[in-house]
Amino acid sequence: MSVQHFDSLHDDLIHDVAYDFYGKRLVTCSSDQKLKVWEMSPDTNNWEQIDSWKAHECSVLKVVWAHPEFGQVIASCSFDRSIRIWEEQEHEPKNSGKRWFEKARLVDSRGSVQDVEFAPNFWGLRLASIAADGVLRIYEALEVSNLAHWTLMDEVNVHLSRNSNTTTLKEAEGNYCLSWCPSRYQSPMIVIGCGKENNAKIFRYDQHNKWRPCEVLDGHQDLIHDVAWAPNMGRSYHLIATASKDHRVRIYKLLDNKDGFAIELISDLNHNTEVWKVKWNVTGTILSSAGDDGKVRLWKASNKIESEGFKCMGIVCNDRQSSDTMET
Amino acid sequence: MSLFSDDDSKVMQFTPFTFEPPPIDYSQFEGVSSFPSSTQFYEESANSETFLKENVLTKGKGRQAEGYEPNIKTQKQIMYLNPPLVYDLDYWSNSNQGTGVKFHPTRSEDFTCYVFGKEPIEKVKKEGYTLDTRVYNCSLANDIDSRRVFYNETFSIFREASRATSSKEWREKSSREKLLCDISWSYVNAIVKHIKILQENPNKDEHIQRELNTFRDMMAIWELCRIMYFIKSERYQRLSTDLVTWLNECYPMGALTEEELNEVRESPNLRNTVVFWSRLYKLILRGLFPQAINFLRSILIPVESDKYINREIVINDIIQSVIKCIKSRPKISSHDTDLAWRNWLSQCSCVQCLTLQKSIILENKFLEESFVKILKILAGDPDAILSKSSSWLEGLISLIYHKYPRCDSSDIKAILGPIFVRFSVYPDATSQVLKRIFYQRIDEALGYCKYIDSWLLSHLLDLLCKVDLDEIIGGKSLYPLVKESMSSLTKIESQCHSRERCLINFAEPLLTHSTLWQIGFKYLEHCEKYGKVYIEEFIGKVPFDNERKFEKILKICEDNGLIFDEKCITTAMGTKYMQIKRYGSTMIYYMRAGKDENLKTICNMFLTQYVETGKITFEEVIDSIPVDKDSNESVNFLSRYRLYHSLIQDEFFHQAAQVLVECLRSEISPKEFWGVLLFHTVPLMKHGRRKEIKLFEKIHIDEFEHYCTRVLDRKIEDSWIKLVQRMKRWHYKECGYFNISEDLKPVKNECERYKKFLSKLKR
Repeated sequence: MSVQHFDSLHDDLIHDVAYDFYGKRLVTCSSDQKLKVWEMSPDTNNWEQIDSWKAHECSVLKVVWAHPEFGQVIASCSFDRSIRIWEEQEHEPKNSGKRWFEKARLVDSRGSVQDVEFAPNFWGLRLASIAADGVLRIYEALEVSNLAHWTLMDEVNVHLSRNSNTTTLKEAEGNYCLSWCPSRYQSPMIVIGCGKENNAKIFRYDQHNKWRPCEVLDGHQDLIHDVAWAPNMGRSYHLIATASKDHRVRIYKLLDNKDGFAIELISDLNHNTEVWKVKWNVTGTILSSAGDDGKVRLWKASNKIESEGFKCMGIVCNDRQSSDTMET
Repeated sequence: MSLFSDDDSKVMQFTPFTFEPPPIDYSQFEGVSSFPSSTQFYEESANSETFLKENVLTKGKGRQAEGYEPNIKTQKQIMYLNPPLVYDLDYWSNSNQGTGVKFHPTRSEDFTCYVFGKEPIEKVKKEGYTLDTRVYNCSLANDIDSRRVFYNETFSIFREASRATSSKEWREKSSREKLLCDISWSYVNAIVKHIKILQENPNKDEHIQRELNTFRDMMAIWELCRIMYFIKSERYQRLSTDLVTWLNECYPMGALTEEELNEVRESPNLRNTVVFWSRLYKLILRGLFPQAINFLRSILIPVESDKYINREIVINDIIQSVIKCIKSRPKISSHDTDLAWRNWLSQCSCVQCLTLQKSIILENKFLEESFVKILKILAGDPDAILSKSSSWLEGLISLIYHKYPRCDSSDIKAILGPIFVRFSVYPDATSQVLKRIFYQRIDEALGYCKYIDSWLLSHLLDLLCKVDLDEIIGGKSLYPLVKESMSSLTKIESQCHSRERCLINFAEPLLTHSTLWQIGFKYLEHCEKYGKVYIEEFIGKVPFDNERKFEKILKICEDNGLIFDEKCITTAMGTKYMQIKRYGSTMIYYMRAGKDENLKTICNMFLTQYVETGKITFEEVIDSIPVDKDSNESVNFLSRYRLYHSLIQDEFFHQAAQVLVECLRSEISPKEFWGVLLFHTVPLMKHGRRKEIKLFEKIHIDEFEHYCTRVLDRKIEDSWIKLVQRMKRWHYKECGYFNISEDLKPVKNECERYKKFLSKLKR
């Protein structure tokens, strides 16, 4: 076990941190409206800042990297209702504030953009976003070398469960999150955490090239704060984790059947406090949950996943207060 | 249960042993020194001390039959990111902060933690929080750098083991056993070698110390498995000596404490020293007879005065008798061992009687008891053996060595009962593994191995899966390891499942290691069922810093039929070059990846540059690319267009005219560029007329007119108008060429003139 840290020197709270595809770079975003890119220096074995710049007009809520086959590309979303696409300019010096050039600004949302995620690379350069207006938007750079042009391919109102009439949508104080299905052997799918409905919905890209809702993951008693679709790793089923205000972390198993998915709740984990984030590791064997207690709990899949589910394997504490009293 | 069957023919049956195991250099681990009167004997050498397993040998002493089962599975690790920071009890829940995490995209046990804002600052009231903007990189994984050499070496053995199973020798039982032992010895040698490297490391920090302990545990377990399971045909008459050698090598006698050493140093007569005798018991228990004889000789006292003549002579006689007994202990290796053994036991009894008879003369109860105890140990008295043993392991192996010297590994289970009445087993994973190996519960032993090291578990399981365990340990298998979770699997399938799962767990951290990544993928290639999925998931995530590494990555894709991943990686390489504007390399990689759209974009970029400036900027780029007729259409056109310009430059007008015609006819150029090609025909036609050379045929002129119509027939697009306007900037004013126009009038006019010229030429 080892811990090393560096100071991001943001002027306000960090909202998100994202690794690049290889794990050699990091980007951080903050309420200070800035993005900062860091690179692991092989000489010093430390994270060194590559650039820092004001990226939005409000808090930057999420940030993601595109697959390297599309270049060094970052997408960020903000409370300012926009999504911005950034591309690295190799010729610009490091820390000049110009190293990352704004290639596009997507301003279709009528509420703060709460989550954004690039699709797995095999679906092309696609970007899904969900905003406080409750609309899932799928953008695509049809010409991958032209990052300035993004086509809004689909708009789906996650509550109406049908293509929305965008002119009638009102700004909603929603709480949304999304996660792409990472499997390349099935049609594109996204799970959306529908905050106030206390559930998560799976949307599937059907044979008519439309996003349709197919399954609902319910059971939470309060707001859903985060969803995470696990890497498949050759499993015959999918795993989706949800984090909720009701203190629970739920892991659903989705097994393909002819009508869609058979859904089974395989773990209902108690984090003891409101849970804000859930994330899977690269093999989908460890799930992390971040709670209101300032702790991160790591849940490991047991060998007998069907009968024993996930068990707490470790806790990351950010301070020395309190001993852990959690019952797993 | 009798270990010595009445039917001697069965027990005594001698199975010829056809090979000698390759020698292992145990000498590098100093054992006990052999000169008893020297205090050096009692002071353990540094090396042998390092092999001492205090926890196993002493801590487990007790009366319970079983040690408690360690509940390792439910143990939670707690990691403190920021220990000096103490917040109020409700700090986290009342503030707009939480601790977030992001896992590393390629390493499953690495992650980043940070304090995150739950809501954007715009949505919350300004609060007086302590701003923490630190980002923590956490790892639960062990550092594998120090094991690079070991992993490289053991991978070769692993590969040899995989090849061995398909060899001719493997099919025959006797030669299979030889191969199996060879492989096992190779693994042990590699472990021993690594222990030596660790011992020689001047840096004795916590990590090195932990590694040393782990490797010693691995050696003890692996060797015990070899002795118990792999050597089948020679097990008879060999097991007890093998076990006692294993005990002495892996768990040698501990050093004396300072107090004990002082007792020895200050003792006027070793015969009456408790430490001396307890050391001697240990030597006898552990079959270290040469050392024991030296010990005994050291208390032979030359007779000097008449007063004690009788007593000293008696003691010396007894010592000599015991030495004789020890020396005459039969070697457990011949056909008539049983008889020899019985004779020797009678001899021990006689010496014991002699000692008791002379006890009156001795007048020393302590000496009398000590001699009797030694003789009892030699004769295999369980009480004497166990009372002088310090641990279950020492007790068990001493009992086997002295009481059941010809036992078989399957007999050991029966011996374990009395051992665990007297001793408990310390609950550490290694002790649990050893206990289960003796019980022949290999499935449970492996279950504990995972708490020791993933290398041990994966490689031992791999080797065990290669042999018929049912044959080796009589009906036990690895099946229970997975049967509960994979109820639908057959026994063979479940073994493969376990083997693959363990190998993948072991290999996963190697996949992103800077030097071991190739070995990691090779391991996955040995996992037929699940390996490919992991290769698919991880191969694209190997960062390629140079082309050599890139080619190696592609080779792995190719070997495993990962066409899609190969394309993705090649595209990523192309994009990497694109970023630094190395267009030649970019195009080569995009061509390999079949990225026609990307190639078209680059080619269009070059054509646009020409339209803007009138300069050919892609000469070097296109010259560095191998282009043939099967190449991408855009690249092919760019290559032909570059040829056209070089022919014009070299004044090969005839050939240039031909290339131009080909480019138009094949329609491989972008449609908006047809007009530009038509403009190029004008100076050639003019040149032909002026020099009266027939550069174009009439049919070509007709085609030019046809293309003019096609360009203009289409609704004239903005892009065409813009193109002409951009060309105009340099075409006429800067370069002094003819004045171009959107309606292609100069081309049409020149076509008319050229047709007249052709008619004239014909006449």
